[in-house]
Amino acid sequence: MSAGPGAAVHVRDVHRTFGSGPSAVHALRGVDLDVAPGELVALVGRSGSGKTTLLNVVGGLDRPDEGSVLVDGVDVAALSDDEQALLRRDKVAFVFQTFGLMPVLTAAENIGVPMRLREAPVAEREHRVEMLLELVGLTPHALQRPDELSGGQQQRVAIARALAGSPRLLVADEPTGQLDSETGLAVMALIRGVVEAEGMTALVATHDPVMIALADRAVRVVDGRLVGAAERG
Amino acid sequence: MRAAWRRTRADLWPLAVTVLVVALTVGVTDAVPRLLSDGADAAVRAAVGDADPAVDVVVSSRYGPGASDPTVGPADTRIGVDDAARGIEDALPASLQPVLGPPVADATSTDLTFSTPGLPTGGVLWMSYLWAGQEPAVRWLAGSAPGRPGPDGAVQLALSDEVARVLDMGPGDTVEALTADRTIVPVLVTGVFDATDPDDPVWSARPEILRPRVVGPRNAPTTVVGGLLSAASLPAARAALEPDGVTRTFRFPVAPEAVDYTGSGALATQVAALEASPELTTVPGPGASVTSRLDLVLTQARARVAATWSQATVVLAGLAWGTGLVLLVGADLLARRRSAALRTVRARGASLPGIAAGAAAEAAVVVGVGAAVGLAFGQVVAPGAVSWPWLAVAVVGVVAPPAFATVTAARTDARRVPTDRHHRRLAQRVRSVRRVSIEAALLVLAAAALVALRRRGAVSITGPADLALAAAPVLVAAAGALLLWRAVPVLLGGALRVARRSRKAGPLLAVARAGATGAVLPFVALVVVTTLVALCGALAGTARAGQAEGAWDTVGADVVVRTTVPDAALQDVADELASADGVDAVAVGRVQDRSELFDVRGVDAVRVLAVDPTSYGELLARTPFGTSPAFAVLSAASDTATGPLPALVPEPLLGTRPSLRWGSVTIELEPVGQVPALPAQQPAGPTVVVDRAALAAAVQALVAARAERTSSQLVGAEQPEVDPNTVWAVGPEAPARAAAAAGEVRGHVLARAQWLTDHRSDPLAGGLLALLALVAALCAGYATIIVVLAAAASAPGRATSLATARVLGLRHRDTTRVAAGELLPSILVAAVGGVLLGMVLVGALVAPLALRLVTGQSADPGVVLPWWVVLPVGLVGAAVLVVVTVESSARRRERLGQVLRVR
Repeated sequence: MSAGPGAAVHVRDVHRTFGSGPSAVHALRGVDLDVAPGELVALVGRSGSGKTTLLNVVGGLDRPDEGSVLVDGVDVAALSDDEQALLRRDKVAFVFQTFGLMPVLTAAENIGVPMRLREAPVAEREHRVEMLLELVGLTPHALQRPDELSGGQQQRVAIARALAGSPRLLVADEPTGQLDSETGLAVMALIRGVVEAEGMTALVATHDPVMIALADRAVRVVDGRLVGAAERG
Repeated sequence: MRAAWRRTRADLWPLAVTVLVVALTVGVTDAVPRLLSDGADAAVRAAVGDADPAVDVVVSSRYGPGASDPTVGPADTRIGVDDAARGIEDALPASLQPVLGPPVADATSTDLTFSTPGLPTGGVLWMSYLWAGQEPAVRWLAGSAPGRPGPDGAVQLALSDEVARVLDMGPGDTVEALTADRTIVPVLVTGVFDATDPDDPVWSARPEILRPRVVGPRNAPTTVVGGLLSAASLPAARAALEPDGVTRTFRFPVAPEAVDYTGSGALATQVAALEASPELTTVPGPGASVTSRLDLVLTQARARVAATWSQATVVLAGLAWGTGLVLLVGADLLARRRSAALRTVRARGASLPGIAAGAAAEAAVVVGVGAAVGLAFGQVVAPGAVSWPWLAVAVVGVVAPPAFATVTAARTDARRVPTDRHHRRLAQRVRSVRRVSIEAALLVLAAAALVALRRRGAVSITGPADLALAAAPVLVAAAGALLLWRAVPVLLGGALRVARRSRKAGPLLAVARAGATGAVLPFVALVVVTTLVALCGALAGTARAGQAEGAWDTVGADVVVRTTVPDAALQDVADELASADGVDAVAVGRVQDRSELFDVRGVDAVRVLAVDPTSYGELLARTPFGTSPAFAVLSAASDTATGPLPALVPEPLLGTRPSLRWGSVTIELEPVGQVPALPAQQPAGPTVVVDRAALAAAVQALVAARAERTSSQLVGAEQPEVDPNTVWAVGPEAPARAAAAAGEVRGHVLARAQWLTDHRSDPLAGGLLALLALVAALCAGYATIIVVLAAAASAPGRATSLATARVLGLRHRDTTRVAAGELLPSILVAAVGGVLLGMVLVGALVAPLALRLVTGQSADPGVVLPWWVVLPVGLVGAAVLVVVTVESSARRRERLGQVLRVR
């Protein structure tokens, strides 16, 4: 599927190199990628192939050395740090392999952080948090801290938090990497479900064949290049 | 080895901080005892020097009845004196001999009254034979040296040129001197001389031989003169004044430079023993006595030294404890930074003792470097033998890192909170019980130490303060810190409730992290060092203000002129001062200590202050003692009084009708008010203020009435006089004007500014104030270091948290505010709490630390809190802002995408 400039995500000839000289690591070497609105794309590849770097560049966590990245029509690379922060706050959400929860906050508070960053009204925030807790099945655990939750529960909190700000793009980096297969399956199903339910676009880096199967499309990344569609199912 | 160096290099800055802290504390704790010892020696010598010649050891005895032989030759006289002097010198304790100079011996008659053409109203004559290894060298201006009595039997005597001029006598003149029992002693002047060296110490025994001395009130002065006997004429004088008319005295001058603090205790004891048992000196003759103020002067000086030692011990103990806590915080940080590596080496099979040994070796090197630098610094500041109190700090520095490293390595990664609620609660309860037990023990210990310190006082004249007592302020600070630490969750809980209701993310993140990441060790350390800053600052402020108050208390004005005996001429001095430029107010009066006051409770010894109430009140109004309406009341009452003498009295005497004994009369007083705040009311005891003119009138009336009753004639000498003995003046030029005017009355001038300068330059007081300032500065620096170390310890968690927040959309510039919000609450609570604890402690410690010995006041000084005792709060606040700014700068370079990756 090729969506062109009107795509939710439009990546063109993106290069990213870490370090310099002989020890330089070329993480991305001219990547082109378009993701259509509402599409769930799986990035497949070995460790070090450049999946995470591509996600970071798309999500505004990193800047490409060359090339352009448009997210919802906005040139991410051209934004200042603060503008990138606002982009992440308003349009992009992340789910990490390590969950990225704040250990000092309860599950409900973690979920509410994106809305707090937008300074949403308290009542609206609380209502949305309740709804998301119910969506991910963690209402009984709302007041527990992350270290009191299992890995699967933590990842569900992370997903709920990602949804809290009603983002246009969900960026997930190995979301099931630290989960057992059963929990991982549940989490993947949840992501698939909320992407469809919320109508958002998702870009997921994964090794998991089940996740790849659940994706609309899978793209293989090899040595910083997209080498075509990955085999699914 | 290479791995150890790599590890050290990776943690260079915390190790450098350890080196710095150890070096500073070792330097101070090593140098200060030597500086104090030097100061103690200087203080003892200064005290002895200031008290000279009163500290001279004076051995005296009478010749006794029947011991005189007018035919004894001069050689025998000299040999007799010389033998006696040698005998006393030999009999003196060995440790006393190096301190005492060669004696000056004199044999002097009792007071003989006489009159001459030059002194028709009469005077007092002393006939003295002087000897200091030899007789004093003189030049004969007329006549010759005295010899044996001639056929007239007169005692032959020589006069100095000045005395001869005053008496209007010369060689060949005779005079009849009278003893107290009216026995006539004929005296023949054989020669007039001039001292070859008037500064020869031999003359110090009887300076009246060279210069007449006038004593007594100006309207009835008495001239005291001395005449010089020779070895040939002394036997005749002794014979003429049989049985006890001649006293021989051996005055041993004290060499202040030979006295030091260490030997001063034994010296005081030996002098006191000699005073109690003068026969030990083997001085011949009856009525032997030994007098000297050396023992008293040394005892007082030693008390001041002991007080300073104790005060310094308390301060240094605080510094050592504070340093120990900083080193613990540093060791904790090192262990946290190395936790991953430590667990890894442990997982690979390293033994805990092996890990501890490695950390101890590194710590020993680091502490060794710091101690070496500190000792070198200490030797530069105060060369001398190394003192060892700093070893305690070094031990903490060496032991703490391996302890923390071992504990960290022993922990497993599986320290997750049990998911089972029951287990969680049980573990929580065990931790609570353990913590409460430790806190309760510390509280009890601190309370006991403080009570003991307040009851016993830190000052002991037998030695430095107990170390346990010296640690009392730190124990109280630590106990207070734990109580404060208990309050922090309550405060943060309230803040968290507010933050949860907020729409913003920043406050919630900051407060939640503040509540979760605060650590008790840096908190306690910060409270302790800020307490020490405030305590030292407040003690220094109190001492300095107390010195200024002490100056006002001692002088009572900008300058005071006092005469040893009342002198009506002081009124002229006061008038001259009052008309001088630069003098704002002047008062003249009579200060009479130990006067008897009779009231219903019995007899009290009081100080009588007889002044013109109006002028004295105006003078006091220009001093810190301020305006008091009591003087106006006294003035008005005195102007109209016809009965009892109006007086301002101490509060308990209000409503009574006391009587005052003044010379030979008893005056009924009418209390008209309470004595206001006055200078130097202690230790003179209670003061009674009266109008001097009214007092004089009352005395005159009473004497006249008595004369009338007894039908006797009023004799001038029988009327108690009310002449002034003191003039006070205030104004910028008052000291200089008073110094110029005081010569007329031979008054002693004491300027407040000079008193203050002298007091502040005193080696003990000045040294202690410098030490307080130094320790305050060091502890302020340590407070900053603790903040930096504590922030560094929590930095990784904060970085991750803020990176997560930034991924979610928190702007970079907002992260600084969130970080500051995380760090500031507990740090500010600790700093403010520490400062408050220091302020409270200083009130409790002023008396036990005997600060009055530093200020020179008769009572404990009032606590003064200089504004800069709150400086630590600003300092640690600023340190937090610097830390979060630096962290923010580092975060800007951080690649967000890497932060949350699996490592």
